Amino acid sequence: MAIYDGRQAAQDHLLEVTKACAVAASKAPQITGRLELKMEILTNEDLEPMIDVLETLGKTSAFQLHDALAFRAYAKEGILPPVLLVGADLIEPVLWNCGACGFPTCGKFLQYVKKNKGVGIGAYGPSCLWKIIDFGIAADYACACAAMHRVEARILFSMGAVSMFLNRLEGCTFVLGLPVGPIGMHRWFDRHSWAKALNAEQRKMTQMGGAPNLGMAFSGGGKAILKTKTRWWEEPVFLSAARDEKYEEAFANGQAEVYQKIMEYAGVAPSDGVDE
Amino acid sequence: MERLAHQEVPARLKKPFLYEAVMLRESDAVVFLGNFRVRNSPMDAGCGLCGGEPDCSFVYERVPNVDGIIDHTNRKRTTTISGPLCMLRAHDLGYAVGSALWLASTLFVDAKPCYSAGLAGRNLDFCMKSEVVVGILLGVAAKNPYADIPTDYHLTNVTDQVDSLRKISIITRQIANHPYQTYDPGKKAPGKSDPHEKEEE
Repeated sequence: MAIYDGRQAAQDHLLEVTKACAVAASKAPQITGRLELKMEILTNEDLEPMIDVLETLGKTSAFQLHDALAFRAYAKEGILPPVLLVGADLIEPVLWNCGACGFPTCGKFLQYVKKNKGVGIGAYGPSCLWKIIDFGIAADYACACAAMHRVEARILFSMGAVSMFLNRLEGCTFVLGLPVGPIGMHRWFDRHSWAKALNAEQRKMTQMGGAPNLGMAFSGGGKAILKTKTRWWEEPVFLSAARDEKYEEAFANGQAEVYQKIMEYAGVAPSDGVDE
Repeated sequence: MERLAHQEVPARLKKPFLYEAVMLRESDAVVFLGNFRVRNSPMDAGCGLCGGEPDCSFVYERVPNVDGIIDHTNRKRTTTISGPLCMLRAHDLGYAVGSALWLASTLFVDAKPCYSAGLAGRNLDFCMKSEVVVGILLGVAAKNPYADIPTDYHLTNVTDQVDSLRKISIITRQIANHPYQTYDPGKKAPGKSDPHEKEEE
C-alpha cells in the first residue's frame, strides 16, 4: 500500500497520456494512406534548448514570446509538461497530379523541389496538399486524445518549429509540438505568465494589429483617426501606412541571434552562454 | 467518382476512386468539408509550407490578386485543383476533418475521409466556395464498409454479388419449375427419405 501525493501523481500521469496521444495520432485515418508520422516525447531538461531558442525568437515576435514565457514559467514551477513532437515529410507528393500545390503535375513539382526546397519561419516547403491535410488529421487526433483524458493541451507551431531547427525528428519538413498538460485549468489559454508581459501600450498595439477598424473613427475625410486613447479627438492619431525600418532591423538582428543559437546547439558554432 | 476515375484522374487513382465509389454507395451519409480560406485568404504568416520561403511570395506570385487580395471570383482551372494554395489553411482543414472523424469514431460510426468523394462533391457545387473539399463517408452497417476490401472491389462488391444472384436465380428457378399447388417434388428427392411418407405407411 502507498499514499501518493495527488497533484504529483496527476503530473506524473501526463507522460502516460502523452503516450496515448502518440497512439491516437498514429491511429488517425488518412486520405492518402501514405503519411509517415514521426514522433518523439520530450520531457523536462530536454526541453531547455527549445525554450531558450523560443525566448530568443520571442524578443521580436509576440506569439513566440507568448509560448516561451509559458514554458519558462512552468519550468520554474517544476510542472513542465511532456511535449509530444509530431512531424512528417510533407514534401514527398502523393503523385495524384491534382494541381493544388501550383504545379500541373507531381513531376513538375518534384523538379521545382530539387532546386528550390527551402524553409519559412517554421516549416520546409513546398508541400503536398494532401499530406498536409492528413498531417492535420493526425495532429487533431493527438489533441482529441488529450482532451478525452481531461488534460489541457495546445498544439504549438512554435515549439514544433524550434524543435525541428534543433534537429529533432530528422527528415521531417513540418513538426508540431503538443504539450500535454500541465495540470490545472486553462494553463495554455489564459496564461498567468502572460498577464504582465505586455504593458498597456503593447496590449493596445496587439489589439489594433488584430482589428484596426475596431478603433477607427469616421474615415470619410480620407484621413481616419485611430482611437488610441480615451479622449481620442484631442491631439488625434491618424491611420497611415509606413515602413518601420527600426523594427525591420531589430527583427533581422533577432533572426541572426536565433540562427547563432541554433548553430551553437548543433555544435557547429562556438558556444557563447549556451550550456553544454 | 466513377466518371472521374475513368476520364480525369491519373491511372494510379483509378482503382481507389472506383473502390471509394462503391463505399459511398454503401454509406448512409456523406459530409463535405471545405475551407474557402485555403484559396481565398491565405494565412500570410510566411510559414514556408507552400513554397519553402520565409514570406508568402510563392502563392501571391502565382495567383491573381490585387495588392495581396486574392481574386476569389476567378474560378478558372487548368488542373483538377487550382493552386498554389495556403498550406497552413489546408492544414487547418485537416483538424476539422480529424474532429469529424473522431466524433464519428466516438459514436461507433464508421467513417472514411476521401479525396474522391470530396472532388466529386466539389464538382457538383457542394462547398462551392472551397477549392479543396474532403468527403467523409459515414456508414452504420453490420460490417465496416470501408475496410477488408477484396481485389477489383468495384466489380466484386456485395451489390454486384447480389445482382449476380438475381441474374442467375431466375434461370435456375425457371428450369426447376413445377405445379406447386398439386405436386411437391421435394418429397421425391433422390437419396432423401421423407418423414411424412413414413408416417403414412
